[in-house]
Amino acid sequence: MRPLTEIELQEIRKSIMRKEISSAEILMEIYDHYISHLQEFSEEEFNEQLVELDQKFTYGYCHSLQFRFIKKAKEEIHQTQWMVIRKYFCASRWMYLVVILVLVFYVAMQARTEEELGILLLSPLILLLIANIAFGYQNFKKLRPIKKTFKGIGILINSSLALPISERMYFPILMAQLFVYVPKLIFSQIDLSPFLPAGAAAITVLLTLYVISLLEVWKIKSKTALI
Amino acid sequence: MSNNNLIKGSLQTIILKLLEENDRMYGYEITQRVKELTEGEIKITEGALYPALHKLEAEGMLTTEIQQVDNRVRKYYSLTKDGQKEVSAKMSELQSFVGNLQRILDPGWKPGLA
Repeated sequence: MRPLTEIELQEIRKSIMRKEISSAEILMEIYDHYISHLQEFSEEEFNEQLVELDQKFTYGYCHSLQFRFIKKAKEEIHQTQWMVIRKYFCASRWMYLVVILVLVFYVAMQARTEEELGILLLSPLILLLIANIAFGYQNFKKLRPIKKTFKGIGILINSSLALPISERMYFPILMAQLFVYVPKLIFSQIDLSPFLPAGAAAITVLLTLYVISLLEVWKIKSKTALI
Repeated sequence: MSNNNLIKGSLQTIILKLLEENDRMYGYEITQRVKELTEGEIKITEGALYPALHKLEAEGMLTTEIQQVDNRVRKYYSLTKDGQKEVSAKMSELQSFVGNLQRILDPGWKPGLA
């Protein structure tokens, strides 16, 4: 095994960049494979071995690998969130949830105006916003070495596991808007004010549960992935 | 014996078995270990290795660990608890298959006879 020269490393990077891989996980794995393999050969054999590797890691193969990885990452995040909801919130924790539910309902009943109920609904979304900022920062920090290595690749490098989590972070915002505007449009003739406190409390609890489960998924996955 | 079709069916078992013996391994290391153990007779192709590793990871058999090595990031694979249980199941499945294959190829063959 020999250390590769900077020129050789540049050749490897150029070769991998041509494959236009955007998944950080696939990119780092292929880059490590190339270096580990080429370190075993002499300088004279370098070009020949690089061509051989390129024939194995073709554009089509890399994109198929990336496509399957992204698909599996989405399924994995979905399954992990369900697993968290089912296992994490076991019997004793559901008791806590009932207590929180009662408290939120009590607070909602005390609210006198729609604005106060709006603030109640907003609280899990604020938690989500803070989580989103922290998630973005952590992701940026973890991807920085890879982005630095492949500077000038011309395409945005992202963690395949980060995208499904980000999508899930935006989902409650869309749902909250739906819960706020749709009843007003459909039931415009009916006075919804007696149901508002209970509705707001239920949505707040559901949103909080969703946000906590998503944060737990991030915590689990951050130990092993680039998120 | 270097027939890729024959190796394909047992690739997951090979990966799981190697990871049972070695605490954690990265992709290239797996290909080299197989080459070394079989004295170059079996070569795991990259085209089959990484999809198999990603599949096992998605199925919860493997867990990954990311580590900075020199100036790059390396992804190590290791067995999960489910993966550890799966190794023995996969091994007996493969041994039973090899035994049956042997009986077909050589009807006079009996287990335990060299």
